[in-house]
Amino acid sequence: MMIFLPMIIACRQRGGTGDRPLVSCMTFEWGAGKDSYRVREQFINEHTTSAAVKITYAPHSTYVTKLLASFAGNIAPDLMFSMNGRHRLFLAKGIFLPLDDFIKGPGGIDLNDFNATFIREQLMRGGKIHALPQTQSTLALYYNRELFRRAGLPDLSTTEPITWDRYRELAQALTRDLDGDGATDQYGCAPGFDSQQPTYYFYVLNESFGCRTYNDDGTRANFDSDATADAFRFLHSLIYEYKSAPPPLVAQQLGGALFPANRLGLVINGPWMAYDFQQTAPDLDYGVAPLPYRPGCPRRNMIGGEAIGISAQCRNPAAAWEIIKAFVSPEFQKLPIQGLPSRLSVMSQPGFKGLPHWEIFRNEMEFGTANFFTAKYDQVSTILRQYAERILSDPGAKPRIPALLKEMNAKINALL
Amino acid sequence: MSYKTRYALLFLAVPFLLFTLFRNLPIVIAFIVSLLDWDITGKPVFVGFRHYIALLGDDNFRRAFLNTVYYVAGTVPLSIVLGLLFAALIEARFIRGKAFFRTVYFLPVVCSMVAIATVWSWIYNPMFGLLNQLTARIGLGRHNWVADPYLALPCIMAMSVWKTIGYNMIIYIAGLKAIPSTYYEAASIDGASKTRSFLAITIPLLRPVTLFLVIMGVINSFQVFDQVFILSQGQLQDSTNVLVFYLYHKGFNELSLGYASAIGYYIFLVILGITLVQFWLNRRHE
Repeated sequence: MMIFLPMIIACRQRGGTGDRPLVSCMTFEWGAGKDSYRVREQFINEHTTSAAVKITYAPHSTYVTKLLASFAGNIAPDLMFSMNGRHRLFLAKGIFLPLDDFIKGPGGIDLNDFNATFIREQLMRGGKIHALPQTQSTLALYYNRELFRRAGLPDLSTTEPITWDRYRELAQALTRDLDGDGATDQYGCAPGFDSQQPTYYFYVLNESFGCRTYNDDGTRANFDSDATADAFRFLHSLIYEYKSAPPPLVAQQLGGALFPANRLGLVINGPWMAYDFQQTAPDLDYGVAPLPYRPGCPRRNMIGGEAIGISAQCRNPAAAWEIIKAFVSPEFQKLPIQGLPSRLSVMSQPGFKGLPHWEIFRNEMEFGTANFFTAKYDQVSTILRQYAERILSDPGAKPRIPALLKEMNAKINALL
Repeated sequence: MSYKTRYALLFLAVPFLLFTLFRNLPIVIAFIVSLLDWDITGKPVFVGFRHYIALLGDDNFRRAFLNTVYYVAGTVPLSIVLGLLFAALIEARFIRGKAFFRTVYFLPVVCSMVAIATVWSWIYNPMFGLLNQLTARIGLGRHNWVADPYLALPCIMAMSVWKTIGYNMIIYIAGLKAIPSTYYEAASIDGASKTRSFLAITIPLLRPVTLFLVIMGVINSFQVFDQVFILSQGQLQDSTNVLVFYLYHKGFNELSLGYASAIGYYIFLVILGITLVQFWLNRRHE
């Protein structure tokens, strides 16, 4: 009893919502701080009269497992968030209810205020919308202005992107051996660094080099294309020929430490990085520029974000819909987040205060695609990461890139 | 049945039920799951031993198995030899402050592996790490350590050995204290040197302790996970892919629960096989 009593007490339901139906919701809060979900819960409960919400938090790393396990146990929360790379997985598993009847119904909302590409490529299945975007994100090029100044380089344009060749030239100019021991102490660039999802950026680079990751119906991958081989040769030469970028595992391990420590000049990342700098390095002097492009190829970026949908096990979808409307309402969307608001009109309102440089990320949405975030994104990414490691950790791998990519593509196609 | 027997059974029933519920039942269920194709939300599909067969042709599993064997071979003998060496040194007559040294060497054992791995990740940091500062000063240059595919696993092994030595040392100290001093006195009268006494008396009489440490070391090392997870930042990498990490990856990242359970049973079979061989070898020596 001594073991189970505290568990029973901890598990008891808390009430206190009056006559309003209570809607449960689980979030990972890849938003604005771990405890901000409490602020959001309070905000929604104060601004919604027809329903109340009880939000529970799960860390980002275990969120999907917890959510799917609760779904399997028939105890899923009424509302669920899905994150970058997982939307199509959630849709494929049938855990969201279609929202079309609610959207078009009397208490519906105008979808024209949301990014159409993201909804079409990530949130639709069988011609129906299963979730609504709650935040949006794209990638951009962060540059360290202090290191630019030291190297005598001018600031980058906030509207005109540089080419990948110029990116390499800048990286070379920023690379330094500070103590003269022959090893690089200050890297020019670190493409693809992110300890959470190192492959995230390879997709964008690949598309930017002219490869369309999958065919139209998503049944065949094109990682064996010449464009992909060029993208990998580009990364390989940055590491070994120009010695301007760290090997992938070094970049992964050092994570975000190099850039704020003035040991890294250029890095590609999302708006959440600006949020991190606000919290941890408020004095850091950095700029943000549009993502580089390859001449002759269309400009490409990714469009990501969080989405919210109603669980297929929800007993009161009408009440859950009221809470969804609150989550995507213009008032709620003005709360601080690590990305962009999903409602485009919110960003057009005078006095809108987003993250630093939010306009550049918003402008990049025009070039965004999410077609590589398939239902098998995790499995494909594991294979991609392994081959990226094999290619980019081996100084002599450059001639073998086409053969390795062919092998990788065959493995990915076998998965699809 | 007497009331004493009834009470005894009643008290035994509580741990028995808890063990059955939380340990034995999951083991049985894991076997059943290993025969299914199941991703938590979908309907489980019975596939028989297909996962077990598929694993034999899985490159990642083969790599994980070889990496794990490499890890076991690198950590278990070294931590046992060093544990014995440290125990013998601390128990030597000329050493003062035995309790202090025992505490210092045992300290890593009681620390959380997650905390230790996090500290070591900074020691191994290629740009700002303590180890590179040291190697650069003595002319050995700087290295990428855990971020180098060839050095990553040896780095993790070194950290694991450092953490395990204290435990082995304490067990060996207990074993050393159990050896009657009369054996050494007799050997000394017969003119045996200290080294000869150590090789002819200490090591043979410590065989049961060594067997225990080898078995526990192999079992624990085959299940290496925490340090790999922390130092590889949760990413599946060729260089640090070990069996339990691969199991975790398949089960909780890719949600292939049947496949992950089959990996678990392979690990169990391998550990069982090695333990039985160790017992058999020990019996033959006796």
